[in-house]
Amino acid sequence: MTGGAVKISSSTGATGAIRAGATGLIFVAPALVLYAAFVLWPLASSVYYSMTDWDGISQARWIGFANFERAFADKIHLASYLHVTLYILGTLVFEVSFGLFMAVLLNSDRPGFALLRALFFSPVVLSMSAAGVLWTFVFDYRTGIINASLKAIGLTDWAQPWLSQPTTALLCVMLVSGWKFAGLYMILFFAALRRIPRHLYEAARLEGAGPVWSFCNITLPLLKQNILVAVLLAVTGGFAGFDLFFTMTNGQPYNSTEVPATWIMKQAFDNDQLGYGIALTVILTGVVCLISLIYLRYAERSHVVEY
Amino acid sequence: MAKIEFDRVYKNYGDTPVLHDVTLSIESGELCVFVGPSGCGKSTLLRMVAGLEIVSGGEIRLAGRRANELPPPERNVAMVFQTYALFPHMTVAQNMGFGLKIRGVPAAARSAKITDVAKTLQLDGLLDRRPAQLSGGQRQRVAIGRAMLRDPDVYMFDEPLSNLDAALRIQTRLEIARLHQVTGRSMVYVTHDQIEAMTLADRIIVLNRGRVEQVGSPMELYDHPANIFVAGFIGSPKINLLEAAVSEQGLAIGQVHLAVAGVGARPGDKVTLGIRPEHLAIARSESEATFVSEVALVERLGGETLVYAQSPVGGDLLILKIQGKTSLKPGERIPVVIEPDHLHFFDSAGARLS
Ligand SMILES: Nc1ncnc2c1ncn2[C@@H]1O[C@H](COP(=O)(O)OP(=O)(O)O)[C@@H](O)[C@H]1O
Ligand SMILES: [Mg+2]
Repeated sequence: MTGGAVKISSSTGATGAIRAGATGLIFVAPALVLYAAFVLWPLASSVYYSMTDWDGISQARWIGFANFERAFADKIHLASYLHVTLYILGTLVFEVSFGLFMAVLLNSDRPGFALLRALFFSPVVLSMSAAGVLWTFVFDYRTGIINASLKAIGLTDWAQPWLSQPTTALLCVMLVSGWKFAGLYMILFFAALRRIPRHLYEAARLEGAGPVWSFCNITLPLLKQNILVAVLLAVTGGFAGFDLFFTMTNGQPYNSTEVPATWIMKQAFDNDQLGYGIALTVILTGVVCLISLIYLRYAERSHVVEY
Repeated sequence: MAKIEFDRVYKNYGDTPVLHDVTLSIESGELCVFVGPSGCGKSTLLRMVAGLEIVSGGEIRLAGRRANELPPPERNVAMVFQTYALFPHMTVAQNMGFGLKIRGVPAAARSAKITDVAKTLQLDGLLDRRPAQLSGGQRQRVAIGRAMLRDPDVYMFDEPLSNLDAALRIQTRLEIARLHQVTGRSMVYVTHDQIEAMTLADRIIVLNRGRVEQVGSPMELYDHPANIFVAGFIGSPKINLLEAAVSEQGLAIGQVHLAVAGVGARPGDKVTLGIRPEHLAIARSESEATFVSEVALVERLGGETLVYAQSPVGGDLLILKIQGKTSLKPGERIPVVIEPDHLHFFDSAGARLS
């Protein structure tokens, strides 16, 4: 009696599941259509156009892997990956690390600290191009405030054409990027710092731990998750970096600040080689996907801390 | 070994005063308990000894030396926090031994000591786990183990049992008492639970609103509470407090007359009479009774029974503690007798009258 009942219910369960799957498909269909139309189709057509010689207007001409062969022989293109790697390392220092440093420094309830945090955060809300233009004035060789200050304190020899020489241009972009984004990472880390129980630091202090020990052995391990997220944001954001480079140097001088995004724009739109530009984009997409996969493998293995 | 002295100690957080004029001393080797309602400043007092809070006024001396400005590690105190303060990313062994590591004890000696302490606390076998993989009681023992490895002059406990269930609480209480016996070190223990204080302490310091109300052994506090607050705070079930007026013959409690001598006040004065529940009894007959009352509620605890009865002055119910069992029911009238030898009298300001 009971056995029969179980059998019946299990068989209706199986067909029920199939029927529910079919019904479910109807409900996901609109999303699937949108996903196909706006993600899958453009992706597929990009791969197609990356194998054509196309100026964006006339008929595209199939040329196979020629664009990719050209890309791997394109010295400026290859150098742009070096520059973007340097830039990302720079953002890890000037944005993530400095943001963490400021979060620890400004983590206090004493009066005035909330204001300091707000001030430090304020560049984040500024538009990137506005920041770029603003800092171009600051770095200007003749009229910029930096060189003016250096001259005023007698260090005339230190005045530099900051944005117009290969040795300093990329560093300047990194610094501005840090000025712009360190506040964002500070707020991110600040929220996480607040969740670390105060007693942990007190227990360490009683045993003779100094602030450096506490930072390395309590703060850093407990912020690991947040640091991983920050690194992901900085790395993917770095590869997408365009506006700051465009407004500050646009790849100059002598392509020393050329990054993939600026080079792609130049190839695709300035030189009317849309097919080649798209091929470069496909390469960039591949690189970012690869890095994301490596990151996910690593991040998945690290545990979430429970208090 | 270290004697701890507080000399006219004050503490403010900003403009808010938290501790007023605390003067007391804790002898070396003593187990001293700070007890008081939540928010009365117990933790603050403890943390000032540890060096985790700045002293706003007065002086704290450790072993006779001014300690106000002494950095925490130099005070050689160990603290067990209410939340245990275990590092979630470290193993049990690392949590217990990090202090030794900071002080430069070599790895081999360190792990020998950790194993040793883990054995006495029955933590062997758990040394590689993380705090999240431990039960509440095990975490508590890790925190105690950490303190033991410090080998401090003073052990400090800030409400160490409040996150444990009732059975574990009693067990851990016994372990702390044993730790005190074995090490012979001074211990300062903070709790809001007067039963913990009574069972553990050599000496109890009762705090209320940032002031010391009374200092004494558990029995001194129980038998001779210095004021109404201490009388009401120490003892479970609570002492019965009755408004009364001093008369020529003794006391007038509402309509009830009680013949007592030595109240310590003049006729006509208002006093508060304190009677412990065990000093109220049910008389055999109404003629022997001090007054007759009506039972409101009976709580049977097995070995003893608590009878809640109407008070002759109205207001809070009287509590009677009776040995053994009884068949009393709510609504019954009972003859109550007050034992005149164990009464406490307090003046209108709440201070004890001798
Ligand atoms: N960091 C602080 N800032 C301001 N007030 C505090 C702080 N810590 C404690 N207090 C206040 O001091 C009083 C005593 O606190 P505490 O010593 O923790 O009490 P207890 O441990 O007896 O419950 C409380 O009223 C509390 O609100
Ligand atoms: Mg407290």
